[in-house]
Amino acid sequence: MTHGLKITGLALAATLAGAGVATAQDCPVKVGVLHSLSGSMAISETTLKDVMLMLVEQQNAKGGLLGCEIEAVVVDPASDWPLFAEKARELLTINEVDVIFGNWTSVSRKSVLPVIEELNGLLFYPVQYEGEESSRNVFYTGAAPNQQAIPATDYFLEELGVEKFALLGTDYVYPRTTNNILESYLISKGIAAEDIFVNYTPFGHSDWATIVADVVALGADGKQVGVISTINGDANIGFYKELAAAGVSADDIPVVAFSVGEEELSGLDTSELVGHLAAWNYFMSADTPANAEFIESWKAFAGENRVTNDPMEAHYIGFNMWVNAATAAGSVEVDAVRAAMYGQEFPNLTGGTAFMLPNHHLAKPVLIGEIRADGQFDIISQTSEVEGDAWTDYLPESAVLTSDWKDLGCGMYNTVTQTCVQLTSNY
Amino acid sequence: MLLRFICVALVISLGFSPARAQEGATPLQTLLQANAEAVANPSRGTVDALLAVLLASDLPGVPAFLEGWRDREIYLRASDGLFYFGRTDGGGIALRDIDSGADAGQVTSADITELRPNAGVRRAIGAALVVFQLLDDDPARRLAALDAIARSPSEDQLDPLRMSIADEPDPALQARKIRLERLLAARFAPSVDERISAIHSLRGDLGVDARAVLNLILT
Repeated sequence: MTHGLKITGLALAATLAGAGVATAQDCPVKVGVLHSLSGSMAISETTLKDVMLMLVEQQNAKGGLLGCEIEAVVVDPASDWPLFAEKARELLTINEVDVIFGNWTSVSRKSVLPVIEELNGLLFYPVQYEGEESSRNVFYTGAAPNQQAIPATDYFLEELGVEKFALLGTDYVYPRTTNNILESYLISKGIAAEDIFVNYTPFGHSDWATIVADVVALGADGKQVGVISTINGDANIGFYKELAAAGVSADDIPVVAFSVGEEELSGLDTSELVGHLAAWNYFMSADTPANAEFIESWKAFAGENRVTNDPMEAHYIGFNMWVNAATAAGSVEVDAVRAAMYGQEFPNLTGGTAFMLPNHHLAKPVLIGEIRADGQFDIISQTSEVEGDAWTDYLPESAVLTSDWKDLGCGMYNTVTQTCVQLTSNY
Repeated sequence: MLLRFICVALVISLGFSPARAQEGATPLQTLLQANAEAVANPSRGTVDALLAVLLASDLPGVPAFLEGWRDREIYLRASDGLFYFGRTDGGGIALRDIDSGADAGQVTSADITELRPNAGVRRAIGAALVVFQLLDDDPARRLAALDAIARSPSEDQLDPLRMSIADEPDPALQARKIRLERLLAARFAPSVDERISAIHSLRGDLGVDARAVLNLILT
């Protein structure tokens, strides 16, 4: 199937080129990098800016793109959501970048969406997120809920026998939407509504003592308690320190996190956190030749002590797919590249091959890892490639929706009424 | 789920294995080979059946194997498909025979797969080990046994726990054993009177574990 997609994509791109849509390339090719380098999300996003600089440097060493040098244009939206929109507009209209790689939080992505849809920009978004979105102008290289949150919840239910769930999140669109999906999913799996405890805290939250004590007290009825954490940014440091201080062992109350990886743990003493979990599509500990090579070049570029993580792999796959799509299209023009993206394949660092679906999401494997004392993860479960689903099947209003930009030309298509609900995204 | 359980039980009961020829000298390896898939890729759904087979075999090497399995010190060598004890040693991993404990040479991580039972499986292994560990000479192992009981209490732990209390030399461990015995007795003691007196003994106890026991009785 993927092969067929690829051929169609190429044929379409060739038609466009033949029609004179793609013109001779203006040099240099410009890549915008839109990641927070200050503020509460800098802990996670600074590394992604660095990995983009490395990928650009590597591509230039291979001769650039379409005969041009690639130039990275780095801006700092400073963990300030409205500023993301301003910086995106600046990148597209003043710097005139050909593509943007950026964002971590969904609230920042929602802030950027109206700008890139208005100006027909192209954004590669590298972080796992809540789904319920498929913009014509965004390729989502991180996991959709069915590639991270749902498999992790299944692991809690089936392997750890968790009967009572604490859903702890930072107060914004990603945790709220994910937890809505998970609540609905857990209820469909026979978990009673009163056994699901939901709590939201602000960005940068630091006082976790009461919340952790409340979670421990959930076990008073003899049911196995598990925590699903969608806490984002530097609030995680206080949360994990409190878990350790309260002596919450992973054997008693396991915590699975969706936004904590090697980078977030690198500043923490993880000896008290051994056995807690994270679900991602990549871990640095994956034992493959491709990963060993990636880690080696990363350390050579950024420093011996630096770690790699899942959103870095997403940028690595996204950037390489973009380069290959632009090469196939013979242009970096947004519509030509978009048409050439469908069916793009690129090897995962953990083995197997990621491929781009017509709904702008990737098919990728799902991995579950346990935290080790050295801040790395032991991979205890790895699936084959799972296709990212833009619209979850576990909320009734979105179960009927599908996204197919290639054939249906619509990111929000109602399969019951067979109509395109809307062409732009909800902001 | 049920079907999977039946399949596993069938495989285990048939005990079919190519390594069966070696049975005499290496009984534990033979038993593990007969259940190789369940050992190498354990899941909470399959581990109970496997543990029952291992415990029923009465082989002397079973407790040491279970401890190694739980602590991720068991490796599967690709070249011969056999299980080994292993410990990281310099750049490689030093293997030991699963039955005799004899040195089985040094390998690199590319030659072997580390068995990584998940936390749910490790909890089941820990509970199965309790019977052996409660009377161990090493206080750390006795403590580990008590932790395992606290995490997944079951009816069959009550008798071994009771029998180990009188001979417990460490006063702190003995106090913990007595408290655990009360918690278990409140739920699992054979006679109603015993259960009622255990419940009375938890009166006023504010611990989450004590409230958990009482809540389970009430619901």
